[in-house]
Amino acid sequence: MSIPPEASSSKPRSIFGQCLCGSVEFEISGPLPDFYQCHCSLCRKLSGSGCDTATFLSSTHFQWVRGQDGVKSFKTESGYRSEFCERCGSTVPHLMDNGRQYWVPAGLLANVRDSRVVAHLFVSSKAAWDNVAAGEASYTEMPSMDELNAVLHRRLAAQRMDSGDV
Amino acid sequence: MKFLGGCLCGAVHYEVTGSFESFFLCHCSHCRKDTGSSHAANLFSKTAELRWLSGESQTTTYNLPDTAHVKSFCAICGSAVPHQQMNGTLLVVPAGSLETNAPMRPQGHIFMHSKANWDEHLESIRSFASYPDLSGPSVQK
Repeated sequence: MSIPPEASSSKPRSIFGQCLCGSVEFEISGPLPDFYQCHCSLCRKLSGSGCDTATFLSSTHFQWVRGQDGVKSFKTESGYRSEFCERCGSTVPHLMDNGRQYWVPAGLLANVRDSRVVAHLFVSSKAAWDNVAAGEASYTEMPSMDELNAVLHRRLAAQRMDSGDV
Repeated sequence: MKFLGGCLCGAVHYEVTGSFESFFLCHCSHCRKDTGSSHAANLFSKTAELRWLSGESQTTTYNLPDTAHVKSFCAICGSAVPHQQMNGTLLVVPAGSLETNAPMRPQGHIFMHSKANWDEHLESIRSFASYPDLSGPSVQK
């Protein structure tokens, strides 16, 4: 069987991320899962756009390179979190409440290779001008975290099975 | 027309009076880092007036050196808020910060030559019908 180099490599190339001003930088050492876009009103306010774009990955694959002391944190009463660079305002990664995964915003990543957007969340509360359409990989609200994790990691799980590395 | 908007934590509220000339989705690398997402969504006006209803002192404005890229945000929660560009002659309002409906649909995607390599056909992603474990009531068919 032919195996793509990135699937068979035991040490995938690192992916780096940086905020707008460059104060905050981080490195992802493991394979990068796919992304979701969340169109809820909170994600729209935080980004100022129609949706965020992000993924979850194991904390063992995430490292801060610099600037962690310049990250400000905000949490709503419902538990929605915003971590951002205090200098330029870019949203930046955070360790999720499960303590095992980092939330990583895709817009900060420099050298993404295979990851793609595979799910749209909260399309029931999207902006009127947002033309994300029904019939896509979309949820009216939020799927369970287990379900979403399975979707975001599906491609990597398939690669591991192809390479016999399970 | 009057438009209202604000940040996630509620510290910053604003009112825009007037009309917008344009609404663009910008996919450039600055806007991707600025939003953390695939693109920014900004409304532009050369004539409308911005009035801060609360929290103006909580806003921080960052100008990326050697560029025209400006981002204003709430210093408490990090949400994008409006800012002025071109010596105050151009008002830029992040569409996501509006609490009133935007008055128009986006007129175009800009800076598509520098979009992310994963930013492809986002409006036609395959259906989840192919995922047997995703047939719960929350899936939109």
